[in-house]
Amino acid sequence: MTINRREFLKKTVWAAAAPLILPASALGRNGSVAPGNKITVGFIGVGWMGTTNLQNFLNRDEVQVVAVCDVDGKHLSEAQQLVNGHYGNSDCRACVDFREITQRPDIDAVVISTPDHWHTIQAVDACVHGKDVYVEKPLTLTIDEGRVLVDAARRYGRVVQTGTQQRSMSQFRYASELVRNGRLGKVHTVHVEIPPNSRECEPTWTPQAVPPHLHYDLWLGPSEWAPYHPQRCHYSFRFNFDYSGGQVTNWGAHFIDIAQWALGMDNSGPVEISGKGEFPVSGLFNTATKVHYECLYENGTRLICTTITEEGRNPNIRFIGTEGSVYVTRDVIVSEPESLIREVIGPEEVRLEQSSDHAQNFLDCMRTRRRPIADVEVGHRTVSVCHLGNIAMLLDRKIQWDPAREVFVNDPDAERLKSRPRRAPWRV
Amino acid sequence: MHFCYSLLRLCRGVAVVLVTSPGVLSSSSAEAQKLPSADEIRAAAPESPHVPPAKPRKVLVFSLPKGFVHPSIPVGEKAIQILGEKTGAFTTVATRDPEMFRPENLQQFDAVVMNNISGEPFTDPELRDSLLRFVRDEGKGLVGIHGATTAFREWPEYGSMLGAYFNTHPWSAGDTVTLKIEDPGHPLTAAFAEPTLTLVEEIYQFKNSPYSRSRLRVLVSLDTEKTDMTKPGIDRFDNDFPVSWVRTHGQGRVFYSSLGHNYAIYTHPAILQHFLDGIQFALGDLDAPTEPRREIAEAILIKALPERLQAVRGYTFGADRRAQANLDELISEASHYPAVRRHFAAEIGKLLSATVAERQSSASLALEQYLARKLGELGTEEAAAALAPLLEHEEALLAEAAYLALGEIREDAAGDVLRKALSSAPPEYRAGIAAVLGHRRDSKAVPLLASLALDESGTTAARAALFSLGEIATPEAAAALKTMAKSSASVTRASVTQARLACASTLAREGHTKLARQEFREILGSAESSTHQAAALLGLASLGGADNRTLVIRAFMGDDPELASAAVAFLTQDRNPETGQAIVHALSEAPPEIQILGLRILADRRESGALDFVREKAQGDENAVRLAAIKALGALGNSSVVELLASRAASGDPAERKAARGSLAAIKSEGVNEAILNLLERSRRDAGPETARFRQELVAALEQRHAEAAVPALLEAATDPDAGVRKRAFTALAALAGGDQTEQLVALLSHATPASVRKEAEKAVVASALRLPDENAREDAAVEALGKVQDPGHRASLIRVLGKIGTPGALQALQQQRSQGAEAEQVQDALVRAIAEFPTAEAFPEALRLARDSENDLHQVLALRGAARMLALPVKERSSTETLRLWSELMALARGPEEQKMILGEVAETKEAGLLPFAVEHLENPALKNEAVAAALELAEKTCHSDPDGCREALLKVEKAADEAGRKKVAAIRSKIGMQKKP
Repeated sequence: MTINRREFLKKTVWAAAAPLILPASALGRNGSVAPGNKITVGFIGVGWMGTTNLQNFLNRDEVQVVAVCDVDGKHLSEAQQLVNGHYGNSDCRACVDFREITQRPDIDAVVISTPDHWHTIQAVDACVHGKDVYVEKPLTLTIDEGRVLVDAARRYGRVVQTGTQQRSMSQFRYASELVRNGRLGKVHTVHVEIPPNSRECEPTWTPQAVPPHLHYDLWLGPSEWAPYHPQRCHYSFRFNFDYSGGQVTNWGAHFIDIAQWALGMDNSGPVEISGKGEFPVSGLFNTATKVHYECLYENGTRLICTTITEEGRNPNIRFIGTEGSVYVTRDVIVSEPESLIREVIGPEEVRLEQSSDHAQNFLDCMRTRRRPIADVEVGHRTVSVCHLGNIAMLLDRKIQWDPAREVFVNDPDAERLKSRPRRAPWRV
Repeated sequence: MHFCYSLLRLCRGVAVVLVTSPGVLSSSSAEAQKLPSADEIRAAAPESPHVPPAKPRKVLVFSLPKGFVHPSIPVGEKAIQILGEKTGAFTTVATRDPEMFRPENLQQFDAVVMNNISGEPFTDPELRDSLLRFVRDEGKGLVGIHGATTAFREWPEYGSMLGAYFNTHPWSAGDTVTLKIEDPGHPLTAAFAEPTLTLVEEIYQFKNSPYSRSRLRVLVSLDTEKTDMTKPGIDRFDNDFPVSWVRTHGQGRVFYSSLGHNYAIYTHPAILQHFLDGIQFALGDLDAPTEPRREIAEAILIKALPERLQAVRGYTFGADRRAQANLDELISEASHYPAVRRHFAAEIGKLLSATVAERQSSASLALEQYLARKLGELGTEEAAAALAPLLEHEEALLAEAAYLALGEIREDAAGDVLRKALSSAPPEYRAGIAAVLGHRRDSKAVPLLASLALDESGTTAARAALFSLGEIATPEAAAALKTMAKSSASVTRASVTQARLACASTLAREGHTKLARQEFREILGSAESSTHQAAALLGLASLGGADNRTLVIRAFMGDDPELASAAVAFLTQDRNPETGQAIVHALSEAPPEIQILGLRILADRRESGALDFVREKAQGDENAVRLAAIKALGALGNSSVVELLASRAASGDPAERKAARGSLAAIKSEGVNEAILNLLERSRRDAGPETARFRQELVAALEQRHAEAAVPALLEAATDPDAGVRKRAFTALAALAGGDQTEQLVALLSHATPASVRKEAEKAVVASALRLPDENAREDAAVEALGKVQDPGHRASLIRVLGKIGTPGALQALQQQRSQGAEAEQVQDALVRAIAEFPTAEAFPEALRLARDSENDLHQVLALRGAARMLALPVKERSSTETLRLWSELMALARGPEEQKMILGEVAETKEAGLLPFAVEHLENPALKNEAVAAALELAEKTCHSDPDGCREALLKVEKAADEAGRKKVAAIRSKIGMQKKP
């Protein structure tokens, strides 16, 4: 299918306020969005998380998924079938090289659910080709990548949403509003607990033949070549520093994000970080198995992130202030004193942006050109805290960070860990 | 003790007993463990302090073990006391009470001795912070004896302050070891006359971190030349085994010695002197250097390298990484010493070259990649030189490893190597090399990259060079890109523009504003795609200035959607008030759809200067524009728009009403609630039916705004002539009224008509009563009113309220009303319902009585349902026999199958084991079979583990009665308890 891109933009952008100015007759039957006004989306990465995202977007009337991309042929054909089955046609294009999607003129947005080492490259390429981007968390592999991505998004005026969907969950917003409005008194400590590794690996491993359906060199992309092993790739890539940052970034991206939100640090970060992590010295995984890092913000607030040690406990965040504390997970919010979480935040107080549906917020912002709730800068600042935690643990010492300039204070060894060269031809 | 003592006279004239003769080694473990008496310790202790104390000193000796309990704890405690007492250097307080670390207790001390503590002696953050502040901020002293490094593992700041954490002790209590006095001229080693000291003692191997010679000054260490190094478990990556050290921590001083396991340590004159000196140092009386001795640390690291390098040889993919982990540690420790770094880089470079030279196949690639990474980490000139030849190696993966590593090196040498290779390396490697030069922002590479981009146009390498120029982003790079833009073929034009945009953005950020402006202008004028033009427009917009503002506004009003989209994104985010004015100016003559967009942008910008404009639009004739303006007022409005919004909320079309309500609720500005209250008051004065909807909106807005201060006005509004206003007022009061308004609200109940208003009023009474902190007072107002009120409607209302309040007192009042009898039917009905719906199980007896006695069928059914619901609630004191009997009674009271089914449903809810037979009993009643099966399954699942026999029996019966789905569930429960179907 071919949609005239300029026509499309005319419809969406102009009517940044479309529902307001269009009389009902201009809409399709039942008030649904007219077909020509659909947002065309391409999916890059359709493995486990990508398929979850795909299903989410397929169920939205204003979206037309037109292409899917994956370096694993199995994932790719399953996703293509899913899309075609949903629309009852055979229009969905399947490709192995993401550039076929980022550089296709009739696509408005891309959803990126690849391993972290690919995020920035793909997202930047989408931005420079005028696409809006929904990109999975953790946003980046390194701190520098985040700045590069934010710059690209701003340079081309793109909407870039980070897939940290806890920003669109009401209990996290409410807890953050309680903090922002001083209902806990002065918040001196924030404690985030993240789960231990959800996969294990053998102490030694043997390189294996690349499965015929996997374009392994494209899977590795910008990372140094290494022999194939299943534990290197799908899902467990997140426990290898070549491709990700372990649970520190995987779950940290969600809960550190809430800490940053509540502390009003979305354009900033901590000034001092110290860490003590346990890193495996055998097997394919090398990210921390036991995490403990602490961040100090300029106003004296401490943010502590540790691995959950208590069986059965869910990832959580606890804000501790002089007048009370609030504990939040994806399932519960409790406070001490109990009455805290019954308080109403009034219109004259600090109210945080409301979103109850992360993907919808992205689509809405595509039409309004507003910045989405987990804007790329927000995602970058959050994952920067996680990266800082990893760097402090790797260096096994205290590091000083200048969040305004995003540089370490007189610390070339830490500075080196802020970025990574990439294997040609990949770059941002 | 068989040590040979001799006397040494120190320069200060203090007589000290010292050990000598390392050759005499007759101490056996048993003798070493002989418990010394106080006299023996006293005899071995120095006569006088190393230096006289500057003032009276007080030392806290803390000896609380929470892990391993060292038998020498009391000996150490005694020894430190004697050291102070005998020499007059300090007084001691010995304690095992963590409370001593409270700031108010700790402040009396000058130093703390951690005497063989272990585990986590305290975890209270206040105590921990107190100790940290004591040392770091108040400049006091900390002394650790032996086990002190085994403690507080979960408190990294402690380890960091003390200098190390214990890992293992390869040398046990009975082992003879030789110590080296590493720092013989140091005041704290003056006690040791000889360069070595041989003794029987347990010696620690510390964890890799936080111990680091860069953070402390080692005084005494294990002499690895003269000590048995074949002990199992020796695996320190640097072969460094320190024993005593000093360091400064913030303002404070720290002394630690790992000696102190064996009793004999505490009667060893030299060691006692060493301890005393250490304590005097910590107290601040004995001045001593603490700077780390770099040359020793460097020598240790350099000495350790060959063995570590040897260990990583032969590494292949997938092999164990322990050897690398050790080398990693060594390299990371080397980061403190530039000379060591260079030496390491040279040595690793040699190993890499040798490995590459010997390579037959890719078998050594794992090691080569690893070594290259290490060179990148070391980052010296030597590292760059070692990597250089690999950039031209025929094995592409080696070249890849080399340029990736060179990308990590900040030294100029890496740039030199890469630039050289850019011309000499095989063409297929150039893309990678060019990319790394960009990553390094190597400004010297600009001419090389420019010619690569031009000469080999179309190749991957040329493309990489192009983007690297954009990344390097110096004025020279910009000039090179500009030249390319003129000459390049249309295929690469887009890439050149992309690189130019990146370059110009960086130039703008780094202060080359003028150049950036030129670049953006040129791209805006010449770019081949709207995407690039939009980016150039945004670039210009970010530079500010009136001209650029005009460009943005023009794009916003223009008809290129991509440029307009960029303009909207910019205008929404920019915060310059002049831009706000420009938007307003432009909007005044814009077509409606642009006005709508503009109004939203003004709202997003919180452009308070645009309020007049927006207000005017909110009263305009164009429907869609008016709606947008009303929405914008939520963000921009203040008290002056309250009347306008309330009247739109009262009289607009549905969309407008909704928008006006939203805005009224959202206005942030001060004085809005007061303005609403004033309007409410005014409207009430000249009340007429035509203003009623207006007041309704005002009241609703007060609720939305959570205006607690409005409660008195709302109480007044609750008597408004208009029923709609009254209803809204009660709804608002339910949300806002406090406990002390209960009485007033109860009084208002009598006026609360019609029924719809009364319903809201009742909710308000209940909500306010439940906000009373004293639970026993919650029903008071309603009970008192019930005693006076005669009107049946009002009485029924009060009864419903009491039922919802649900306190024991409320129940009592309801019971009393029942016993009085002779009420109007309306009241009777309310009573039955209040009891049947009572929230707690306390009303069960009353509900049961009603279910037994009621002659009214409806009342009986209501009561029975209530009773069943309450009986299913968990209560503590009721025997299972009694529970079973009560359920049977309820079943008997049921007047039809519907009620019986309901009871079985409630039984299932209970999840009480004892009720399984009750459910089974009804399996044979065809009318109840389905519900009985469901209840039995529910209960069986809960009880299958606690009572497998009873469960088995029940399941046999259930299986017969169940349908297919039920039988599946039976099977599932059976498998859950591992029970096989009986033959």
